[in-house]
Amino acid sequence: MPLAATIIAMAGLALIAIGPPGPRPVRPTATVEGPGFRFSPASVALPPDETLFPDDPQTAILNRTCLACHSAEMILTQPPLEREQWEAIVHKMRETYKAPLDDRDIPAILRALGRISADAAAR
Amino acid sequence: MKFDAALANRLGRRRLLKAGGGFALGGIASGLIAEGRDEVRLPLNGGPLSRPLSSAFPGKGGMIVQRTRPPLLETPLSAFREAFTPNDQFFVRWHWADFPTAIDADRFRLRVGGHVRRPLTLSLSDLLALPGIEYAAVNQCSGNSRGFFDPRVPGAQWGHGAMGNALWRGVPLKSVLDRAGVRGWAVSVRFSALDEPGMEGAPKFLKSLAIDHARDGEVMVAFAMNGEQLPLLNGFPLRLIVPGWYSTYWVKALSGIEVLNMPDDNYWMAKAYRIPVTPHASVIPGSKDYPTEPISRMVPRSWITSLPENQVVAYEPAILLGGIAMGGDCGVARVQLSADEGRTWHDARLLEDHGPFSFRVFEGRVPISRPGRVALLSRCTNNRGETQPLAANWNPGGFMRGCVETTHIELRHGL
Repeated sequence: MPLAATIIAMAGLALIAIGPPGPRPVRPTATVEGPGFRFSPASVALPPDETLFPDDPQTAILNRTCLACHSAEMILTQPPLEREQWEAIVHKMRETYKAPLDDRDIPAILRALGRISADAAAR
Repeated sequence: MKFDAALANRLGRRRLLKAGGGFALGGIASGLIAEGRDEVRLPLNGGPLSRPLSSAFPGKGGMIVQRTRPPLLETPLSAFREAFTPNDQFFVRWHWADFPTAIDADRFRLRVGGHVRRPLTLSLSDLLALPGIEYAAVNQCSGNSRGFFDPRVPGAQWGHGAMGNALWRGVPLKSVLDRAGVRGWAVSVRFSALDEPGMEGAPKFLKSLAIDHARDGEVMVAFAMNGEQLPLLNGFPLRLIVPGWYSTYWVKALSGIEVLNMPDDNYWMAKAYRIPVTPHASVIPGSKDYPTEPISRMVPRSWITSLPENQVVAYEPAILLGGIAMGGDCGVARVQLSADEGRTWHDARLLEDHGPFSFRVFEGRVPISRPGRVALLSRCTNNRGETQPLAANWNPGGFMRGCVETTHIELRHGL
């Protein structure tokens, strides 16, 4: 590989290395063939995740605590849940899935989730 | 005979209503798409019912969006009128948002290690050089139909479309393990993939099978789905196929195989995807301290798919219905239909057999005594003699639903 190409390739790899999370700027080109089958390069551009929680004082906190890992839809599609169920879910998100939730925010998060459930029940 | 969706589209809705029974009725694509709205309402056991219907995910068309990130995309019931589910409508479910969106086939490697004599690093060319196998198998999420649980349970609120049937092609996992030389004391085999947890310290998605299961010659490392390479969203370039078992074991973007000398105690086996050790994995809501085990084999199920929920059709004394059935981890022996809440059952005709792990299309007539709203039931019995129960199971995970499902329609004179 010529030196210039090597440098470009290495720069590309460096970009990839510091890229995630988010779309990775790889553009695969090579194919692989074997008996009766051929792999073509595979890539997808995922659609933007645009759904937000209602921007009111009660539920806005969910926009900065939940969306790092998953869409608002995960919560907005839940059936009306009891407070203990939301507590168990928030506990799992923090303890198992390592969501960086601050102790001081938990009561407000639970109030917001309760509000989402109340809205779901009213619909 | 297949459901003739193309014909149905040509005929148009009004004509279909006049035409009465017959599979042409099945061509009405739920009525919702036809109205031009990008939204569907799932007939779940309570709300929220509305979901976007989207073709925004590359390679996927008309999917029910349960969650954008990480993607949970459900297949509309209208896609289940034939035995095989098209790749562009096959359901999608990722645990972590950090999965590769571009993969170079020539740089990809599958690593095999742990308690083996010869750790391997296999290219896709190496895999293609091994003797291949091919079979049809249903891939169904453990939580498929969770939205019908009563009382409701948290989790992805799927309708019935977290499933699909495809013709899978690949190599037996046994061939790969034999090449690596499994040690005599091996107990289980653990599978890892290219996806990564979103947060540091969170559990990477790993699943395991007992060593004898992994070496049964049926479990497959698949590279093709319905004759094409796997869509990236369904696990390109390699996916584990565990026929007859729930999808949680069908690890996507499979990149690591590790032979263990003990049962796997990682989070996704020891804590998640566990069911009560009871008939139908069912407990009374609120129960505590019952023994659990990892979910495993699937159970018989069936769905009437020729008519969407709440469809109005012209009255006939015996209406023709069609749908799909699955035996679980063995073939379909029988499908029966009822329009009187299960008091009388009428045998449906089973169409082409694509093997024990495939969907089986059925069609049959059920007598209906008078016009009005009617609940249509289908009931599958598998080759083990297991029959779908009328009563729904319940567990807090919303797993393993298998009861008889109901489709309501309204029959009217003079349409």
